[in-house]
Amino acid sequence: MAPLIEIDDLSVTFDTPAGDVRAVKNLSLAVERGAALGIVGESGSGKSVSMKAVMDLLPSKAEVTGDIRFDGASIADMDRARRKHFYGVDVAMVFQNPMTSLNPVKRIADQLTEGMKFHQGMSGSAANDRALELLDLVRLPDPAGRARQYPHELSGGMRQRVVIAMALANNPQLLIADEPTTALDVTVQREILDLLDTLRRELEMAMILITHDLGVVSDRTDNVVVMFRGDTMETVPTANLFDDDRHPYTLSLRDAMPDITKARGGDPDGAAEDAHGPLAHLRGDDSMIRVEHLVVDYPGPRRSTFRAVDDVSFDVMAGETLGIVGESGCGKSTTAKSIMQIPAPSSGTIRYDGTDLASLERSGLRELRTDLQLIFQDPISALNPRRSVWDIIREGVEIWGTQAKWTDERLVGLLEQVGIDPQHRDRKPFEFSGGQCQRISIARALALDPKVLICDEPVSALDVSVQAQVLELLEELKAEHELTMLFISHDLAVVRNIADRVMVMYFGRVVEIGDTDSIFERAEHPYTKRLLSAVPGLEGAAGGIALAGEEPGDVFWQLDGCTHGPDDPAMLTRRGPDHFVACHHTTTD
Amino acid sequence: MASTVAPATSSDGDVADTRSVARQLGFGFWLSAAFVVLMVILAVLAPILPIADPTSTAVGGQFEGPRPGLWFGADILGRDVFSITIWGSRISLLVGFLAIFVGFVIGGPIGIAAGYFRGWFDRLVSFVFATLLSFPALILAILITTILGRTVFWVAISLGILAIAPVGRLARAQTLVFAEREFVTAARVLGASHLRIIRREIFPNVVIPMSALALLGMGIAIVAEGTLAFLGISVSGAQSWGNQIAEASATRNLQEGPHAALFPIGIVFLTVLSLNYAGDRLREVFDTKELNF
Repeated sequence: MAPLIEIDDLSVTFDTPAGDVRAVKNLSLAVERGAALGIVGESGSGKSVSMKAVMDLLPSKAEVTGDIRFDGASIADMDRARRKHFYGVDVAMVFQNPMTSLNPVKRIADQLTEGMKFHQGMSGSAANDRALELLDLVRLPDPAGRARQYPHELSGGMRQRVVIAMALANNPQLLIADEPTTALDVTVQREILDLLDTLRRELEMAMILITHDLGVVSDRTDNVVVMFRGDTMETVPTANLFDDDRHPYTLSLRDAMPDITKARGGDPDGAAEDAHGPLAHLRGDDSMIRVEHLVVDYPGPRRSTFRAVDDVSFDVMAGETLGIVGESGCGKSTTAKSIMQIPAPSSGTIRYDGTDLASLERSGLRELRTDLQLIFQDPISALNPRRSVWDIIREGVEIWGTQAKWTDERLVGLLEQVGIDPQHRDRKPFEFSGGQCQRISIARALALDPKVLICDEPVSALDVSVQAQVLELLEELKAEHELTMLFISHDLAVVRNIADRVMVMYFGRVVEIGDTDSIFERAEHPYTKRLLSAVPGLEGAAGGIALAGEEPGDVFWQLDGCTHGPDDPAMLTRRGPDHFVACHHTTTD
Repeated sequence: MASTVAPATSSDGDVADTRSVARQLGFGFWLSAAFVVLMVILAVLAPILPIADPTSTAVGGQFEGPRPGLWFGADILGRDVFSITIWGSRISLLVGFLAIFVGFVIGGPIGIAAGYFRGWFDRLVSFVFATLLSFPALILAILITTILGRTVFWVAISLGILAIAPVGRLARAQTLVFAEREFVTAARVLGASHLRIIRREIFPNVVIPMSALALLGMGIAIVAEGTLAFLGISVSGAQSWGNQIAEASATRNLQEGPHAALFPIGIVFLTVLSLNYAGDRLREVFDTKELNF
């Protein structure tokens, strides 16, 4: 029997003002009924373009050649009605960003029933029943209630479930998922991937999973196609993906993946004392940065406030790298940025090198600016599109006046150090790639010789191989400029590779803090365990741990037998020489 | 998509870039710009151009049609319509320019400050803008010119006041977009003052859409002046396009010598069209420029 879908010698060429760009070159693949295929590659590899070609979603200036056969029949030979059936019913697609793939002004139920009414000619009430069935199928809690809601009332993970339900509405035989979890938090990512996997088996669908993450495909596909700049590097059974005789590009992708299992060395010594208290984990007064009882409130609607950071304390020693991890909205960025008074904390004290920042006048605070610098997540947003690279990195020197130590030669040297050709210094940011923009951003931050560098997800927007290079650069620069770093990331593997100490945050609070090995190998807090177990490629390592809900319940913060209530959550208990865990119930309670 | 990985490595990147911007603007833009420049040159050089005195009568016969030497024909008094149009452009273009200048000098900084600092100042400014916009524009213009007089200056000022709110609102909206961007935070972290951030980070980004609006606004101001002239309350004592068209459009004049009205109308049309088109192209090209990453 013919494979369900067969792509033969597919090429896609874009006609651009700069000449023809061949986005996909001679791609051939086949997916059997009920099988799962992964397509892996970095941005620009053509992985999405090839699937859009299958779905006929490319702009008209794209020239597509090659043969696509579904169930043995070539799509090119299908008549109109058959083709409509193919695109509408046989194949369904799930896109990356659930925020943009749902219509914000229509209720969930209406979005779901639209396709069914159109393609299957279902009546309103039949379609409604089916919609509820689908929402139940994708494990959305309270389907009837959710169906009446609008997309903005649902979390990102719930929205992606709705998108998947929409894709399943017409019982497709093939589901194409284009980076379905890239926009989601790591724990949600795992749930969605699990869901796709289960549904595929239940409904006997075939699936094509497009991703940049080798970890994602390694857990749930049968075969993997590796693409690079439009070329197919190789097609391998997933089981053999990590063998050593793979294509060099596959190996380089694998090597570029930060390895979460890699220990940084340094063994814990000293016996665990019984330290217990809100500041038990602070290590002394000689710290570079010492934050105590930090609270940051944001104004919410109607005079309410939203507490982004709730009684957080930590310290960072000179030359140390503190990793701050947690999911979006946990307050990790706000915590780090409030050290720079952006935004200013609502309460709590922040000491930099012994000085209480709150005690400083505005001018004194401004003086400190040269010491504390920030690197942003989105390098494109972080560079002014109208200014040249040279203007951008020279800005700090201009502000503070040219001093002897801040010569232009030094800036040129800095550009070289971050890997930007100084001859390109008159170019504008848009002439550089994302990775290069991040390098420019790093050069700008270092131009004033800072002592502390706060990196807010500095590599999240970059491709894996670029990510590895930028991380390496940061390590190098850290050693050379004797920097103290705060490294914020949702990616645990990256943090494991770069941080000396890790702080795990959840709903604005510290749940666990300690040296990197303790956190990664002897995690105690259920949330830390859940984060760790959700890392793709590591599943089963720590076992699936379910948390009761999406809100921090009282139960969550109270250690068994501990007298502290949920209003007193900052209590941390020592579990190792440098390993502190917030009060909580263990899951067996 | 493929372009996101390709680093900019061509050594002649900057040259190629300016050339491609010029090309991206397109033939239409340059044609429009050329027409506007031509009109400005003719207006400036009017006194030394070899054209008839716009006030001298009987240069041609009454309502004489166009002929070589009398390109646009003659009006009811036998005056040279071409010459009146050129001299009228001095007033109309000046009023258009001054009006938009006033709108920008007052509305621009207020809008940028409101968008950058937010808070109570923003709320106050937004309220004032909303109030200004809710006035019937024509009534306001009539009011101002009636009180202050119908000189070129005051007509321009009254139109300029009308421009403050739309200009200010655009400046505010554009500033909001960029003030949220991380390069502004980066500048603050480097220790830049608010004024410096506005000047170096915000302004260069806001100025492009603003200059597009300036061109569009000039066109609107020229038409608005024409409207005032039709009501007989535009510049007095000098011939503007509005005055000229209003006069030539009196019923009998229009019946007997339509060319005396149609030629200046055509010129106004082409001028405003050119300004609009050039402004639109400018905005389109520079808006997408940044997203071309």
